[in-house]
Amino acid sequence: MATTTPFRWPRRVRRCVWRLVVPGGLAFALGLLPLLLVGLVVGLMAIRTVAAQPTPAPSGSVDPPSGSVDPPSGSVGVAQTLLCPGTIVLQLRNDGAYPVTIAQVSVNDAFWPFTAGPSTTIAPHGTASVTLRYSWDAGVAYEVRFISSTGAMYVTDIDASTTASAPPCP
Amino acid sequence: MHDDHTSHHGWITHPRSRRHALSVGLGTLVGLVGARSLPARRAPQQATPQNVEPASGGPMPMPMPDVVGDVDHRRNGFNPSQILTDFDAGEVGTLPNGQTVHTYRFFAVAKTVEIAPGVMYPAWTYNGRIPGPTIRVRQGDRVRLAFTNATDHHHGVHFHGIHPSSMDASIVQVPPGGRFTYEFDAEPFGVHLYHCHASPLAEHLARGLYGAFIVDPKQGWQRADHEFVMVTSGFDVNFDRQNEFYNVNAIPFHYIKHPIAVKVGALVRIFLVNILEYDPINSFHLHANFFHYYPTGTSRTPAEYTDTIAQMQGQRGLLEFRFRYPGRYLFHAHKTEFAELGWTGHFQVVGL
Repeated sequence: MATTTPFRWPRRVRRCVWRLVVPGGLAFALGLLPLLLVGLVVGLMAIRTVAAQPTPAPSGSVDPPSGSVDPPSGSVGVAQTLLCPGTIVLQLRNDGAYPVTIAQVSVNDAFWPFTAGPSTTIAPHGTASVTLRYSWDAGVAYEVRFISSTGAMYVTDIDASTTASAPPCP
Repeated sequence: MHDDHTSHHGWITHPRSRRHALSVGLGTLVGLVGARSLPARRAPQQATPQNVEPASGGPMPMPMPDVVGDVDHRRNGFNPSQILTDFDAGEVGTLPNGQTVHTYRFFAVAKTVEIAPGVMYPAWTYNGRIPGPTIRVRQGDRVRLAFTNATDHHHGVHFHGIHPSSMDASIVQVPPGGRFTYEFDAEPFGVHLYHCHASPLAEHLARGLYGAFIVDPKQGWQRADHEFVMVTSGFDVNFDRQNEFYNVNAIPFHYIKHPIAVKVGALVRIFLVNILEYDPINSFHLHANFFHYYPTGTSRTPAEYTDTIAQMQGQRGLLEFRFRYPGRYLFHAHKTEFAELGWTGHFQVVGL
């Protein structure tokens, strides 16, 4: 599409005319206008960014979404592992700023039924115990994956050298 | 293996960890044995499945691989149990030349889908469901598909079949807010598929933009008592280009929780389409039975009588079989990793 450029006086001429027309104090105030406009635009963008934050999933999860936004790094770790006869208990700790909901758990590439207490949702600085009825074998390494409600994945290894835990066992 | 790990605030970055995987190690900071007791726990929040209830007087049996909980199909807006038999002929009309025309309206829609219990995934869908509608027409009929792209990315509908290149989505990419009508004659008969062909291709497929396209022969198939469509795929929920979940018709283990009912002696026909991304080969294995396999469904003579077949991405075929005995029969990918990460189901066979 063709465009036309309207005639404009040279910048130096325009500046002179401007100084003739506008008194000093008013000129100073008007000079601040661009700054105020920039501030307004930045403020609006900030409000828009806040408004665009993900709304919690209906399940009550408030994890940040994976994919578009990285989940906070290193937010969930295993504080303790118990290997009991036919059972594995992992105590998870949330060191992040967001609650994390553990939706599914897999052991060595197989999803595995589990229970979690007191809740599958771990508050910031909170803990949860995940219990798996699993026929583990001494001398075998296991990889346990925790998948959160937003698809973030936390991985831990149970080392092959791990031995059975002393009580308490569930 | 731990030699390769990088310690950071006590946690260990696992060498197998994926792009968004947040790895934790046990070896360094964790007390592995019960030197410290766990805090008192309240009652578990989620119930274990029925198969872990203790047998009377005996030890508790070990659970089978499964996901915990149920998907809210109503919130998702689709249910794999219904998708199984949901064949869509579109709006059927007749062209001036007497040819039958099937008109469809497809919308590409970005939608958060619960792709496993409690796991919310930012999917891209055709008409809000995964897989998209199962298009089913007769050989030689006209297909007219009005496509609207209601997302922020380019999309399209690429059909497997025979048609002019001007109707191919690899040529026609529809911009956000754009529309395009694909129109062609359905050829050849068989089991086909459609999917988005925008780039990056892997992501556009993996996010959910695919579906089955069935072209019945002019003279029809042999009459079957049950016809099911099964689209096998996976979900990469942390966007590391590896799948965490595998499935038939989108939801892992769905047909374990909701077995497919068939009758003893009845002819079962399955339209099987593999659209799995990131893994090169998928498979189908039927327990305690054999089936006739028609690759791509383009021949009326079976190529094989077997209980296991392999399909690469985009490969599809037609299976026919009858159950001789009542009972519950597994079917699953014979790649056991896929099976135990969701690609497993049951037929529940009942007597006549």
